[in-house]
Amino acid sequence: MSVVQQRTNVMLVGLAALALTAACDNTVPAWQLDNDRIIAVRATPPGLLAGERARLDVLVTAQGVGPQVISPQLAIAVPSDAAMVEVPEALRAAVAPEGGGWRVTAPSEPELAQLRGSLGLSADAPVPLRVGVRVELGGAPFDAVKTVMLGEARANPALGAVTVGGAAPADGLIVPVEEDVELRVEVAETEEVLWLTSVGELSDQDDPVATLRRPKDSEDPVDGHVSVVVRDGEGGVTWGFWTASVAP
Amino acid sequence: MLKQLCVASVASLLLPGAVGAQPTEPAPQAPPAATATPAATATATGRVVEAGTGRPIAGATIVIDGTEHRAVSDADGRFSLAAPDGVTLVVSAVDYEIALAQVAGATAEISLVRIGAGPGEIIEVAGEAPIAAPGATTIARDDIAAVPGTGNDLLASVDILPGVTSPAAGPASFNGLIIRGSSPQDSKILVDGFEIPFLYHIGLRSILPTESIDALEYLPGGFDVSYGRASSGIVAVTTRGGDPKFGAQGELSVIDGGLLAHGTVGEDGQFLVAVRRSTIDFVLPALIPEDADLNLATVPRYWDLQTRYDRPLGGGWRLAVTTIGSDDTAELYADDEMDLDRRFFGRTRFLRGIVDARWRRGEWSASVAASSIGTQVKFEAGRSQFFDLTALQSGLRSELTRTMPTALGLRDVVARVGVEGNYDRNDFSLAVGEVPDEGQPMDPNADPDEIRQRFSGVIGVADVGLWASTAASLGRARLTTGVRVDAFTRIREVAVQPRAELSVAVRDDLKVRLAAGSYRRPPEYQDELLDRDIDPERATQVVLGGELEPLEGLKVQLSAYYTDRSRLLTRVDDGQYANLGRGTTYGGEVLAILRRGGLSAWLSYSRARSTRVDRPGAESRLFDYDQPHDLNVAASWKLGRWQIGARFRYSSGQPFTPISSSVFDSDRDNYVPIFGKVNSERASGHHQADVRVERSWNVGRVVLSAFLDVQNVYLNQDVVGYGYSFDYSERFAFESIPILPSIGLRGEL
Repeated sequence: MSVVQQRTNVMLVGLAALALTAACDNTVPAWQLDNDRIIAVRATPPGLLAGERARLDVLVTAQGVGPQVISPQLAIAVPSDAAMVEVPEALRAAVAPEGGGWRVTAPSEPELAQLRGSLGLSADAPVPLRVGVRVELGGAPFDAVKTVMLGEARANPALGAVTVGGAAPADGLIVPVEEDVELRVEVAETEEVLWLTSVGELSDQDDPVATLRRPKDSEDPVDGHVSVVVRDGEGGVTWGFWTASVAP
Repeated sequence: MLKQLCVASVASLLLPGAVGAQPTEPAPQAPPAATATPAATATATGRVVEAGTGRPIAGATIVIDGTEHRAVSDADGRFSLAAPDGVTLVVSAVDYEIALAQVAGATAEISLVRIGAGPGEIIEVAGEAPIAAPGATTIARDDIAAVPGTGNDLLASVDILPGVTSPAAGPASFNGLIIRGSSPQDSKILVDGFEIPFLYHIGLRSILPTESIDALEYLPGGFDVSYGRASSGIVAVTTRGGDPKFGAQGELSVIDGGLLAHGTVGEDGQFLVAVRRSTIDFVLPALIPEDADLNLATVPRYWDLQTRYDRPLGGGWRLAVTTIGSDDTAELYADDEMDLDRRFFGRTRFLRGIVDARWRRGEWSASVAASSIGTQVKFEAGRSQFFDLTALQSGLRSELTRTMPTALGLRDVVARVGVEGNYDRNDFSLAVGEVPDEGQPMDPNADPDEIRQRFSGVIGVADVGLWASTAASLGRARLTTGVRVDAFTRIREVAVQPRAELSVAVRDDLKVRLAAGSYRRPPEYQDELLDRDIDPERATQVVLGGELEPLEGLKVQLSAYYTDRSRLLTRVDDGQYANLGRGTTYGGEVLAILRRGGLSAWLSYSRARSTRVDRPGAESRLFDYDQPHDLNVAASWKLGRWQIGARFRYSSGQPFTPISSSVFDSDRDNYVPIFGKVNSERASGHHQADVRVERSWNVGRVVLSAFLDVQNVYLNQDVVGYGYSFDYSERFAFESIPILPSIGLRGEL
């Protein structure tokens, strides 16, 4: 019976949490661009054969500035899971600064084979390298992790056709007040989408077709951005962003 | 606590089986074994009146059989006498036949026995049974109507008692009880001796309406060997038997409505039927703001049902057949567009049946009870998480007691042996996310589609418990010793748990008690059932208590306790459990109850600290349910047809683990929280005032009552927990309900 009691507890807590969250959550939504944070970390390419190199860059957004692509201030190999007590030396050495930014270099094939053995991976499996990156926004540090696959070639996806209000976007988008604006991006079935903006409110922001609406009494900036990020589920990522203004 | 006296004539004692068989004198209903208390000296009070006329008999002599202890009834026929549970009283008066009465049980039942063919005397005796453990309390049904803020809900009133964490402390206490800082699973809620799976309908109401409850016994610790499988406290509820007089009542409020009827069946059977349904599901939709991102597809809705049938069987036996049922359903979307990802569905229902037979003859009494319960729990969260359980539990419980006025030079000797066995068959199918262990912080923004545990199968659990105890008095001291042996067959563990209590009546109005014992809680929560290589959690409790009656109508209980917990279950790195934890809980409690004229007043305060070390060498931390302060002050006045009451309560906020920062996982587009020290912060304290006003009228044969019960009248909103923004950069508070009024109407026939 005690299992029942416990499960009922969990159920009630879940119910209460959902209801309370719905009623109490007035925090900044995940689609809001007018704040400081990391939106995505990109390794180009996200999968490397032995000896190949990848460049790291970060899509961030900052309050009053909007989205921009920058290099991380710091990058370091970190444990890939809780069971990994110490990062193997071959992985630590794979992340290094270069030309004001950071790059990842895949170890040699013998080193990869050794890593596969020590990590319990099969002979042809890619070796995951988890990279921790840090950027500074508004004087505060922001951390993120990104996994680069070593021993297997991968590429970032290309951004599919995007339309905003039925037209291809360009800087200088005009967002009407109290009207729905359709945001659409063509993606593969396995790809995941996130729309963001600072000039209105979004619904279905996780779907390929989202809706942007600028309420009449909104206190958000009248000049900002619309952005879309597409992830392929295998470490690949791409994005696009455009300046936008609220119609006078 | 009122004590029940079984009354029997000399003739009935000489004729075996005659006690329960007298057609005009229904035997009193005996309390279930689970609420029977070990014998100890208490004050029995009663009244001797002439049969037929009801005229009081002054000068009647009441003697404890086999002793020189006696009392004489006053001009109103009343008497009081220090009389331990189980002894026989010999009642005699000039011109009347002798009658015998036996101090037998725990609850208020007045029994009438006619002696001989002609008019004899009727003996009405009500006594106050000893409290079952230091710091324990019994609440009778009539007591609770006076406590504001409980909505006339007896089980909900438990939180006014010292040591019980207030439900305002957080949603985790919606179900089960948090007693003396321990987890809900460390305590048990028993109805007529058997465990029930949950106590509350959606956190609003208990599953048993007050009118179907006879009494509630609260044992926060130091309980005797007849209770097992719990390492903290016990709440034992006794259901109400039928009544020879037909009666019916109905109640309707904004929370729920119910009907109850009782009366006779055949010549000597009695019944009680109660049914209740929520009404809040009709009210709630109108209260949700239009802009709330919430859609209640099925508004929280509940039913409950109780039936009880009592009758004598002859040969000194009496039978009670009880059923208890409950059904709760809710479905909501935390999204006004009914997004399936934000859906939550839950249904819990159970039906328990209990057949209970009791026997008493002279020094001997026995009880045998069998029970089965069928339970279904189903919940679904989002598109991926679900839990589906169908469980069937059957149990048997029996106890044999011998009560002797003297033995081996000792007084009031009571010897008991008992046995109980349970078999649970749980048919599970589940796919759930992370379910946190004690002290483990839960990611409030966890992906609902992330499944951490899947299981499908049947788990059977069989447990057997045996116990024996003796109690005896010498001078002003009474010693109770006993041992309980539990066999937890699934984990192949036998637990021997010795327990003892020494009680000394320092003065007539002051008693000091010291109890100590060993307790075990078998592993059976969450996924503990899947691991057969772990041991029960252990607790060693020491409780020192005092009971004082400084003024007429005023009772004060003080207690101090220390609980050492060991072999606590801790999740180790490979995800398995290990008995590595230790913990301690200590504190002090005071409970004062004043009843004078139409005034009833309660004061309870508890001070506690509950800490735990998860594994050797780890840092000590607070238990999840540590509550340093808990204060309740309540008073109620009955002024003619009006009854007015008020209550104030304050309790410390619940500890929680803060989230200090987060790391963004770019590949999964989510944030991983970085937790601070476990339970290193505490929500703000909770305080509120409640009022209750009730007025009654006579409308023909019907007594009508209208009541208004308002919780949190000064609209105080305290933080009961925190939520976080998607990236954990912002924290927002979950606040307590600003005000909860309940207005209703009750009719009684």
